[in-house]
Amino acid sequence: MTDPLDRWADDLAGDLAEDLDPGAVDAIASQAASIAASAAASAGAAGAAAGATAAGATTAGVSAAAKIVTAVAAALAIGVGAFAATGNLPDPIQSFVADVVELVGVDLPRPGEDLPVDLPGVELPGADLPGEPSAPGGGTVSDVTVPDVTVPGATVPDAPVDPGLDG
Amino acid sequence: MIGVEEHMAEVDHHERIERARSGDERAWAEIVERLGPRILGYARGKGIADADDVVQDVFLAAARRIGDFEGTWSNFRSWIFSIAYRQIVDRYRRSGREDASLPRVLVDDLDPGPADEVVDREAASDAVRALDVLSGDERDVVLLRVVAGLETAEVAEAVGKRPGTVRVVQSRALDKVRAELRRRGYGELR
Repeated sequence: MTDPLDRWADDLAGDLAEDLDPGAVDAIASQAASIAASAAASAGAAGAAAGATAAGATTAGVSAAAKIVTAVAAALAIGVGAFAATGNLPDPIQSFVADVVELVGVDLPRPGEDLPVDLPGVELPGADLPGEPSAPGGGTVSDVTVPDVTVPGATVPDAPVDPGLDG
Repeated sequence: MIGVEEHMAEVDHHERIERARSGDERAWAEIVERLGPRILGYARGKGIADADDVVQDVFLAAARRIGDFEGTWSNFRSWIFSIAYRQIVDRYRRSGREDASLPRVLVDDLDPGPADEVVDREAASDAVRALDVLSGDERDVVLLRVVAGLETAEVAEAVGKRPGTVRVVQSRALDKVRAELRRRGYGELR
């Protein structure tokens, strides 16, 4: 038994597809060519303009970016320097800044240096801070990890041991 | 691996697309001559009354966007028919018609032609009527395969579906058409 699809496919294609009128082909081709040529010209012009704009934007962008970076760096240096000089930075940062500038011979106060660290029995900040630390917004900072702070030159005496507690 | 003739043909097609891209009228005429009849057949099979206008709209839309096209001749054919597919979908959407409606206008308007072609014309009408058993998606796949002459992968690209999905739809559609043709005794009169 032959498959009717074979004949059907030929019939369907032959009936539906039909050569276009030559005049119609020429008319469509003429319009399409005109549109494509116009689009190509526009794309070329747009590409050239975009290239010029991009080049200018790149130069301007780099220049603006460089200015911004320089300004921010200067502001940070001034701000950090002022706070660092007075020892008002947060302890970890104060310590870090002091370590860094020490390399170039600048001596900045380090966290806890204003405390009588050589006095026996005195505990350094960080051991027992008075009161509950708080975070902005009222939350606690118990979950905040603070880097260990080293205090070069500070002598932390052993805690006095009450002999009575041993016995 | 393709042969020398196929390679040369692909080179010709590539060169034709490049000329069309730059606005060469002869290149466009060659493209319209090759693909126009198939677009016309596809649109007719979908029941579009102004199928000739679809052909024109497809090529003018292609001309506007050919600068963005990249690919082989096969990709180009898929791309052209993807434009045709969307043009037809848009026409259905604007008219509010159901996509699966049979192209009755086409069947009723077929010119009988010379007397010795009457029987063939009647058979061809039956061929078009057999599309009535298909859903809109099934008809798209069948028409693009049978009338437009696209490969399965090209059909998939044109309608935005995966090749595997197209194969499933095609298989189901052809089973339905075959059953309908047998029920009608298609071709037995000839």
